[in-house]
Amino acid sequence: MFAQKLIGNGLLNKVAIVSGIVGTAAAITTSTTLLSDDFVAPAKYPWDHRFPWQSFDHASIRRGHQVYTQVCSTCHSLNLVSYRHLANVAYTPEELKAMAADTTVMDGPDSEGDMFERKGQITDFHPKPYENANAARFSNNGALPPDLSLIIKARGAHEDYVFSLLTGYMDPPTGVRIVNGQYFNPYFPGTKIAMAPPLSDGMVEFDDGTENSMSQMSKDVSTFLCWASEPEHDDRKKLGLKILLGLGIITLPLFYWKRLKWSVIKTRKISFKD
Amino acid sequence: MQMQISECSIKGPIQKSCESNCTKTWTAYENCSGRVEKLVDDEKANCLGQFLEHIQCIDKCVAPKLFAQLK
Repeated sequence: MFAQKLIGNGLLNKVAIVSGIVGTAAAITTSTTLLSDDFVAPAKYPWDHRFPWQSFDHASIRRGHQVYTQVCSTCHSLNLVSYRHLANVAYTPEELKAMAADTTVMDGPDSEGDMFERKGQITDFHPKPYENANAARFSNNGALPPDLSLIIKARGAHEDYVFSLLTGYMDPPTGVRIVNGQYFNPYFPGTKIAMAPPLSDGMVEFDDGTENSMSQMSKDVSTFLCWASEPEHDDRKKLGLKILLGLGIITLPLFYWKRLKWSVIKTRKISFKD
Repeated sequence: MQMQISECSIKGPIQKSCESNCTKTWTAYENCSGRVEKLVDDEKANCLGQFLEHIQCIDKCVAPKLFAQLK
């Protein structure tokens, strides 16, 4: 009895040590510690989709798309998102067809080898503000507005960063000199950003009547971009929960089955004779 | 001297109300400002570090309050 207890404790200790090592290793290899920064690490905001059992606020995605098309899209492209991707996410297919029909798309070549312009379709991607990166730089004082399709995944603090940046413009502190065409933003690495403050109160009229304050627009466009960078987010979380539930249910029968199979081996006796 | 916060309609007032939590970092920033303003010839002297620390302190207080007021 005593020996069994010792063995049991030893096993528990081993499990504890191994899980401790794995946990520490995971923390070291997946996190970054910036010891000296020239920007403010964004605060963690309580997003509607932050926990594994939470999904996106789809009304917010819809409002965020309105902010993108009315404000951001004048400089930033959204190359990886087409209108049909938004179907049953933020709009009905009919709404999206009407939206796409308002755009003009360069298509071709036709049977004679010429490019031609046609009305946009639901399968088309969001129109680009500039032909190429050089044109974008030329129009923006040398600064390239990045494509926003995956921007949430491409920045350290993800949606917290974008939200903080959009609401973070302020006067520079004592001694910091800002030249023409630059703006002070403590969340941007280096704190001097070429993007002028893009949002102001009442800039976008939301079709669901939500108050269009600057903070609200920033939150909605961050949610929309978060969806754009991970459209499978809701399905992924739903599937994860289903799998955890399924594994939980089959644990007991598996445990019983293992004990059953091993009962023969564990109860046998071997005796040696000369 | 007033804090140089954004003119953001909802975030702005919350930042103001959070200032009382961060008097320590604000004092550090003001002391730095006093030193830097005397160094008229030094173009590189600034209080960016103190300012960023102050913003970080205010942010911790702002984050939960701000989202409670947004939809």
